[in-house]
Amino acid sequence: MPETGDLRVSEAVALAHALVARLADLEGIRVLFVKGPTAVALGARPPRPSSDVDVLCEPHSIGPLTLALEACGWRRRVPESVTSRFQYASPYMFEHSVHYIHDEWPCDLDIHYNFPGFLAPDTQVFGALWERRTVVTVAAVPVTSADRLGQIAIVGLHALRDAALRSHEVDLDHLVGLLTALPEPDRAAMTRLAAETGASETLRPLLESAGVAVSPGIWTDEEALRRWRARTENAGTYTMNWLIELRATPWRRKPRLALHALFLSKDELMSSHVGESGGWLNLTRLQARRWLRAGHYWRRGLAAARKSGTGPG
Amino acid sequence: MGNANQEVWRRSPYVAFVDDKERVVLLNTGDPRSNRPQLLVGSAASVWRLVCRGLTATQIADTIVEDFELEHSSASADVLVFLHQLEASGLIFRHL
Repeated sequence: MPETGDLRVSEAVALAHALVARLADLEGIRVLFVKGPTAVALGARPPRPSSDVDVLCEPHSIGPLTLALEACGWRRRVPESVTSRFQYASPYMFEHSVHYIHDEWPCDLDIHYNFPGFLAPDTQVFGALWERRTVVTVAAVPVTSADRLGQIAIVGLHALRDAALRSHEVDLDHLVGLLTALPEPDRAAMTRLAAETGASETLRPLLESAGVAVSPGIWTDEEALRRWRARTENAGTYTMNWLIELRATPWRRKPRLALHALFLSKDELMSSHVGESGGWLNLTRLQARRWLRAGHYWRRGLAAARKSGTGPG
Repeated sequence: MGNANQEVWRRSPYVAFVDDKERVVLLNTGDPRSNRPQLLVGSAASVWRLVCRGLTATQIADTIVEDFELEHSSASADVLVFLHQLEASGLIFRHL
């Protein structure tokens, strides 16, 4: 009989697409696979290995889907992360998914209930993307995926969220080339999709770079757009989140929060590094990496904190 | 065994698999709660690839004998046993 062997990441990612697709089908839940292998297959992202599965679940059905995953041995990665307890910075973090892991699968499942940058209501966004859905073969089985334009919007929004990252620069360059080469009907459809999903403004830098028209659309959420801009213009890092939180927190609680920001507990550190050693050497390394990152981003984080306008300052 | 050898085998539509030419990893999503990924290497992986090409047991055995330079009668029996194991696991079915 065939043996169960250690899965490689690339194998796990592909097979997990098939698993989630099947579970969603059994539960009668509509899902769209986004980013990763499906985006690569549709040409919306340059080929590169993925370490997780991204799936957008239809609104209000994420509960049954995650229950089905849990019945298969998957568990939520961080039931409550330190950052999810942020009182003031959480609106800038654009929480958008729940992460699932499994001891025998070397990949994460990111189950999205929305996608940052789509400012229209979740139902409207899912409906617009579902309307344009396509089927992609992953691990030799068909899975339902956002179509090429939907993937362009999603990959574009993901890259614009932290546009300074090298991999995101590569993705944006790729998308500009792709959009520029699209025939006019597809470019017009891209304009419409952005408008329908409330992404005209958030995608504007990408669309304008490719000469795609930007239509104002019917969905406007000025506050969400302000938060999006505060984040994207000032590097959406944890440094920014901590600084927004620190700035807005009352003075008497600032020292304790500052200490917390500097020295995360072991559990908090390990929550983002599942599978790594919890030994003191690795913990020190992870802590030092946080400080280096903070040193790199603190100016932009401060600018974002000032723009956030939250709390007493 | 005569008839069995002429049956064409097919992959179950619920079986996902990844083949990097070195090994094949399968997942039967037919019953996702109880099935785990299965690893095939060597001649087992080759049999899987031949099943995916829609060959009969005889054709599969002939190819395995040639590719792995095995003795024909024992290899044919082994292939048939393996196909039945795959069938019992819900990974393949006989296409009549």
